[in-house]
Amino acid sequence: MTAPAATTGDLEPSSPEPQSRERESRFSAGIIFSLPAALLLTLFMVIPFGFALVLSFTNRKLLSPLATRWVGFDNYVDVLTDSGFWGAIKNNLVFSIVTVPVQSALALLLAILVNQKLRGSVFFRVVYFLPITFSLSAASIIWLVLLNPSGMVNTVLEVFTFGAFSPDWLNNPTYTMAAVILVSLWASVGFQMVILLAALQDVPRVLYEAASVDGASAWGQFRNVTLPGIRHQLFFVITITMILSFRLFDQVWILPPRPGGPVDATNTIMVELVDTGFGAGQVGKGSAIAVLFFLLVLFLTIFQRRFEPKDL
Amino acid sequence: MSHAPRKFSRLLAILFAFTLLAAACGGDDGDGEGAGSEEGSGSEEGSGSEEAAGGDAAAPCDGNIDGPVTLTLTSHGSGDAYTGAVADFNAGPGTELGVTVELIDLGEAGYEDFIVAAAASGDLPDIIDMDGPFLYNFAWNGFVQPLGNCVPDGSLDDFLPSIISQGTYNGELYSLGAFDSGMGIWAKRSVLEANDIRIPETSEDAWTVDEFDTILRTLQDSGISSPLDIKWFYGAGEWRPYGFAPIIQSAGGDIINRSDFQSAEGALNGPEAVAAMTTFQTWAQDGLLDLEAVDDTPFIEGDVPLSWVGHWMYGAYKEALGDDLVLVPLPDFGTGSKAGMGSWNYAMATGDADPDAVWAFIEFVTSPEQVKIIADAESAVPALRSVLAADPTFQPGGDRYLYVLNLEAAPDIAFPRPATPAYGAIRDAFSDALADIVAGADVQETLDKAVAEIDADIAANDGYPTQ
Amino acid sequence: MTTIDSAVEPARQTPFFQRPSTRRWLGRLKMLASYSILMLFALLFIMPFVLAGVSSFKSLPDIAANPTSLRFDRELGSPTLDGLNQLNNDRIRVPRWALNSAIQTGSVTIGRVMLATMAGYALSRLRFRGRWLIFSAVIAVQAIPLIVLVVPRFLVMKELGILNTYWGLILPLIFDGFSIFMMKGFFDLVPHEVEEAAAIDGASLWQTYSRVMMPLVKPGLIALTILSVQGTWNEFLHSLLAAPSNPDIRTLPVGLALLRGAFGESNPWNTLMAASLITTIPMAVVFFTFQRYFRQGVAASSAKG
Repeated sequence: MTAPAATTGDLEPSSPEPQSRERESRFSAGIIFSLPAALLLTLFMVIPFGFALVLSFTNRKLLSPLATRWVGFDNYVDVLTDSGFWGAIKNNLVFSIVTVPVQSALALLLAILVNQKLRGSVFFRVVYFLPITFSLSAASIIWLVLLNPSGMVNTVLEVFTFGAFSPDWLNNPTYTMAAVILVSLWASVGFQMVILLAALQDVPRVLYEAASVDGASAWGQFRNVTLPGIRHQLFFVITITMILSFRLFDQVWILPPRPGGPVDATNTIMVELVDTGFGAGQVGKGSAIAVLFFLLVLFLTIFQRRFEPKDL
Repeated sequence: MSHAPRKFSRLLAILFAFTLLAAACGGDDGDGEGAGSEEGSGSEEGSGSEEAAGGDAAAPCDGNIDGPVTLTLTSHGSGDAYTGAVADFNAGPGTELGVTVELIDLGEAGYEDFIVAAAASGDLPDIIDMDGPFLYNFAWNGFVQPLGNCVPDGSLDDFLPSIISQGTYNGELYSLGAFDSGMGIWAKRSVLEANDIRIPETSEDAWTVDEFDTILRTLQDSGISSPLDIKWFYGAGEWRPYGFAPIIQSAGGDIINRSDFQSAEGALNGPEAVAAMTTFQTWAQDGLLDLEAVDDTPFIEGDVPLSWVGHWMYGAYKEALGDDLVLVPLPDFGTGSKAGMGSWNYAMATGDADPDAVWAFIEFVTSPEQVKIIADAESAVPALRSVLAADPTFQPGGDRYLYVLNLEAAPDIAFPRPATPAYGAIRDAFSDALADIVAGADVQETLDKAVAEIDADIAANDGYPTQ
Repeated sequence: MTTIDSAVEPARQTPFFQRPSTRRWLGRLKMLASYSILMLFALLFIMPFVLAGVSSFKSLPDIAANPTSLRFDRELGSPTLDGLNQLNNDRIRVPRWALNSAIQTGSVTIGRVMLATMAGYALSRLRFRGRWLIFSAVIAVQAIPLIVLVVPRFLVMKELGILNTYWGLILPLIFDGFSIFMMKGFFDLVPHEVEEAAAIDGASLWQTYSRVMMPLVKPGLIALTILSVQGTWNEFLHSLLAAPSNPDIRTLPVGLALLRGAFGESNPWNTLMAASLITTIPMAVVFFTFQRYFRQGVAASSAKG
């Protein structure tokens, strides 16, 4: 749920009750206005979802001379007993658990820094935002070079650690996920920063002045004025970061020596899904993965709603 | 908003109902269309095999090309010679016969997946260019049809036997290629001599694995940090099974049991395979393998004296090293040195394109003139004996004589990739396993996992029964 | 409302000859710390760009020998335009891919904006049978990462016969639940008096929508445009699978990703670097032209929904 609850909870049209003839015209107008959206929604979301549900109980292949047949829950049993699937879930969770707080906190830190009245803060805003203009696939290509064992990342690290730490980021399974997280942070933190920057600028100055008259420390101001003032946007940032984190695909497809590798270190559910459904052509099993993934995300969404600020 | 949770759960309940509804509708669609397309393809298959039985499919050609024909041909990141062959055909016999060939370059990454997707979307090209072992899956799936009577009697006499056997599935000839491949280690002679390293000339004479281990360490001790270039930067895909499955085969294992092609158990994860892969892993961990190279410069510049690679580097290496370049066989891991073989070839897609036109093109690209041009451009082993015989580098004492010796000794030395529709799964499983092993994973566990993946694919396809 | 680059007031100048108080010194120290952190991050963020830029002009041997150096090694043939010259050949077709990306991005964005404003308006203002169903469905697909539907969606596209066509690249991406919500949110903020006034003036529903309402949600439209351009320009997986065997309609992200690591080929890193940098230019232009609205739109949609 990307849009906060004010709209999601609001099921009544906000217009006052129209007159009956007008209501009639509005009735058909409403249909006409929503028709294109409803059509595409049905074609590319609802029907595929129905497909996925049904096919998950068959052994359907992408292409095969053999006939498709019902296999009951075999696909689900296969997937749920496959260590690869659980490994992928673990990788997704690790990625989310690290990126959601780190990226949100970093975005907030950067937003606060560039929100200061400092000379050149505009320059810094632009610089931090610049990576957003990259597609992840282009960014990954540049980072392939940076993360080479003798690449720039290690050159810098060697300076700071006196040569003690310069791992082979992409080939050593211990570090590959860290590299993927690093690239993801670099590539997208600017987006969250801009949202939070906008929020910071909308916090009324009087509140800060009042707090400082009351003798609040910088930390106190941050806790009692800043955080409450930007809580909506902060929640939005956390939500959207979480949603995006579950789609992790481009980076782990392009960066490692094989998609999801090495040794499944960056294998995510999306990689598992595409590998199964397309690579191996096992559409039935791939559909079972999709359905399970859907249930997982649904569960997390419901879970997360419990932490939503109540006044949204 | 105290009522929010209730509202939300009501919403969820209805969503759930909605989803079920959608599933039901989708189900009808899915069922109907699924069954329809199954029946459709089933009946196509049926008629196809009937035709085969009746001799029609084996006799696709009628000797006439009806009117101007445009044929599509997929290629995998074509070199100039490929593009040139198409242009030559269009300008020459194509013009005469009224046949135009249009090249669709899919690039090499994910090439076979794209062909499968093209078949799934009903957009198969008329002529499919593919790396050797994919023929068997394509043939099993019915993407390609036997060349049958299109091939005039006697026109195959000049081909290397390895090309014919690569193109044959289920007793039918499906494809022909312009070149075969060669595998070995390109070495810098002066460096080997300076370190008193024996230079084997034939595969019988190959370095043993222990000898090779010593050689690598000697070279490393002499100051060359990672003496063996293995083209790791080629990445996932065909290079890994082509270049490194010979290690397992040399050790006495294989990437699948070739008796019935139903399982890789015991072949890919047996003690021989595990021992050989463990040795390879040790080399990686001791830094003997150059895993950091991003291109061919280390060997070309002379920084690395050994390059484990196929025939395609000969041109560039010869130019760089001249007479200092020498080809040696891959090391013997226990049952004799092995090498990869097989390469890209052309097959006729199932479809309504005029088979006579398709054959006209395949015949043209496998003619002596084109074979010479393409094989030279790829630095490959020409598919025709006549062309091979005219090239001194393939004669005794020539730079590439070892390739010919190996191919002549196939399948004892040059070792074909397995002729099974499961090849794609085997390739992916082995490629991933090799990457994991190099990255330091437990060898036995990794190979067990690869075997499980291969066997699961075979099981999922009911053992790939012959149609 | 300040914007990303519209001026924050310059820091008040303290004349240097004036002896600063301790408080000022502390302020200075704080400023110094801020600058250090800002500079550190700025370096981290900008180095990849700089290196990519420099590498675009290096020769391949130079990149292999000095992957991290920002200087050209003349002995290895740098600087050179070789990398840039290879941006359009048989294998690397950056202009073609860029054109495809532009067609895809433009069409999806136009479609998405039209669709989302119409549906958003209907959901915000109109009452009709089925509204509730559509509303629920939009909410439901919001929760699912749509990308999990890639495989069945491939089958649907196959049935529709739009695989390997521009239609396949474009149509499935047009519907976007978030856009509809965002536009509904913007319409919700428009006071009802506006429409009532329009109705008194005798405007039809369509006139009210297109002439009166649309201008009032302009920030939303622009924010939606930018988000859509960014999302579509960068779309990888869908574009990869929608055109599996038609290389003529590959998009930039797909073309670039598939260039990597082909058998028997070494990567032309200078060309790859140049191509990667080039992909950012349209996005940079869009962002920095419209960033004020982007900020407003995002702020509005994140704060108010």
